[in-house]
Amino acid sequence: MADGILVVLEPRVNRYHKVNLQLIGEAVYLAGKNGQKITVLYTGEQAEEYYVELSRYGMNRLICTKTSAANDYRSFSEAVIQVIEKRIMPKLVIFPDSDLCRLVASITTTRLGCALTAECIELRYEEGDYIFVRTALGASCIAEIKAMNCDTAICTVKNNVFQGELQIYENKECVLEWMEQEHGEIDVYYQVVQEKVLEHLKTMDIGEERVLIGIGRGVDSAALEVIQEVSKRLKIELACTRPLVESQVMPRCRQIGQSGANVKPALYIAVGISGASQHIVGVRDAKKIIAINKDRNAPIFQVCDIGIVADAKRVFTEVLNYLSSQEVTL
Amino acid sequence: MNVVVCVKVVPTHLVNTDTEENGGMVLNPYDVYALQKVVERKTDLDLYITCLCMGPVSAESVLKRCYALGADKVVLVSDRLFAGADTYATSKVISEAIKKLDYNLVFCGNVAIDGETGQVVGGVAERLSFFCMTKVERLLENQKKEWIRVKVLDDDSEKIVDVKLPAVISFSDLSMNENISLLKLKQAKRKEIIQWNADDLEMDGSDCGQKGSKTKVVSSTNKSLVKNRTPMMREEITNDTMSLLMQQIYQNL
Repeated sequence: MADGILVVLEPRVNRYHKVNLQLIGEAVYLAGKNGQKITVLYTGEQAEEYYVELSRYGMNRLICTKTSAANDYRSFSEAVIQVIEKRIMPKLVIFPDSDLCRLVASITTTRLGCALTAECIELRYEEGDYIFVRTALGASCIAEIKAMNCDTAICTVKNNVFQGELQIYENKECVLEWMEQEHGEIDVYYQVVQEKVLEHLKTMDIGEERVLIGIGRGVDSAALEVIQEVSKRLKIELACTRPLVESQVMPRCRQIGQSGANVKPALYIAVGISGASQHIVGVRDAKKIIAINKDRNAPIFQVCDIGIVADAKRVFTEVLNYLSSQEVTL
Repeated sequence: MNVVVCVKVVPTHLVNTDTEENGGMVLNPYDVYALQKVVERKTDLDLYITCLCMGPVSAESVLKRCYALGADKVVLVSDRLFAGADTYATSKVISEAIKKLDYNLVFCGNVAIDGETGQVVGGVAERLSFFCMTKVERLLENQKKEWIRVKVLDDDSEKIVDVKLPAVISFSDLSMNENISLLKLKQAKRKEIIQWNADDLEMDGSDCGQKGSKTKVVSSTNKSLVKNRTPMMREEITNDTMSLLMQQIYQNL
């Protein structure tokens, strides 16, 4: 009988630390409802240090194993499979949303015959079953999904969707366990011939920003120049819609929406964005949304708090003027 | 070398959000990218390209575009027994079809634009016991036999990697432009789409379609995830508009 919750952490802690904590917070929240035990699997390099921090957050067990997970998804997959098959047989497995974890989740599912729901935005526990909520068909509908024909349900969860605050449980016991991997040598199936680190591609985590300016197709290159200047002066990061990534105006790490990031800024300024549901779904938790668009009928004006019907370039030129006048008086 | 490119047909309005048209189907733009990148190397790697699609019989006319894009053969696996499949059951059918084709190099798009799960790639690789390389930007000239050289665009680095066959390779990007000439399209329309059903794949329906799936959709609603807000509107750029905007920015920075 499957029992318990397994949280699989992204081994590249530097980039995914916050996401890992979000998953633990969600698992603790679910366990509060159904009394399930929480096991966390960490396959990265810094297990000892990480244990000290993680163990306080209310999990029951932390399993560590050293794999070259960041480099090879197969050794990571084998570790996950070994834990599920030999150690806990969980009812629920939660993975973060990264390319590596998505691949490992699908390998694990296929090998073990489990259920898999990708990119969930909500998890619920009702009458003994987990319900996985995700968007479908270009975020135009919300689907609720259940596992069937299997004991273990696996999901990957979209980053930054859980609201829960992490609590520290000083007195709760957390068992640390080291696991030796049982699989044999994994054949070398690839060789890196050449590697070049690209500074401009470095992933920018726009999920952390308090204020974001989002730009859409309504922003032409002249307007973009002015907006970039404002962004530089006020130190506000830029985000964008999918078409701007497709036309290579902006890097993918700045894309918001169903196929991009979910963000929760205090203020989101949507510029030249029509307001397609695929994009808006990614900023639905913004405290305040200001929309700037030339088209009075753009759907964005139904989902914003302040709407400015105007040309983007003119608005931001005014912002620059304002900033310059402030500098003079200062 | 014989290679497979997996493709899916998806609703038109998900690709072209400007269109009001309902019911139309197009090739998934992520798969178009995959096919275009494979066709780029068709001559110098001497590739025989088979496109493989699981979908309804009605996908046939859209699939002819694969010929226009440079495919040599297009196979549609279609059966009522395959309907309602989740990613688990889909990867089963796709991998069975690949086994029948007996190829050891498979290409896939990053995700399908309708489901946006990206989970079939890993499932196919696991079922075939092939190595899986994701985030490939393009194929390069080959250096070694039984290996394929690719350029990978990772989160923050660009790598040139040699991948040993057999392998499943998925790409990093999508293409919104099929770039098909009318002449090629006309020629493509005359070509046959090969159709396989469950019998051809020796599947009895227990491990495909809804029966072979591990998940079920219990409810699906069109209610918007986004709550409507009642905006304060400004129709002109006045001092008042600007100070409202600046005030909001400074309050939140």
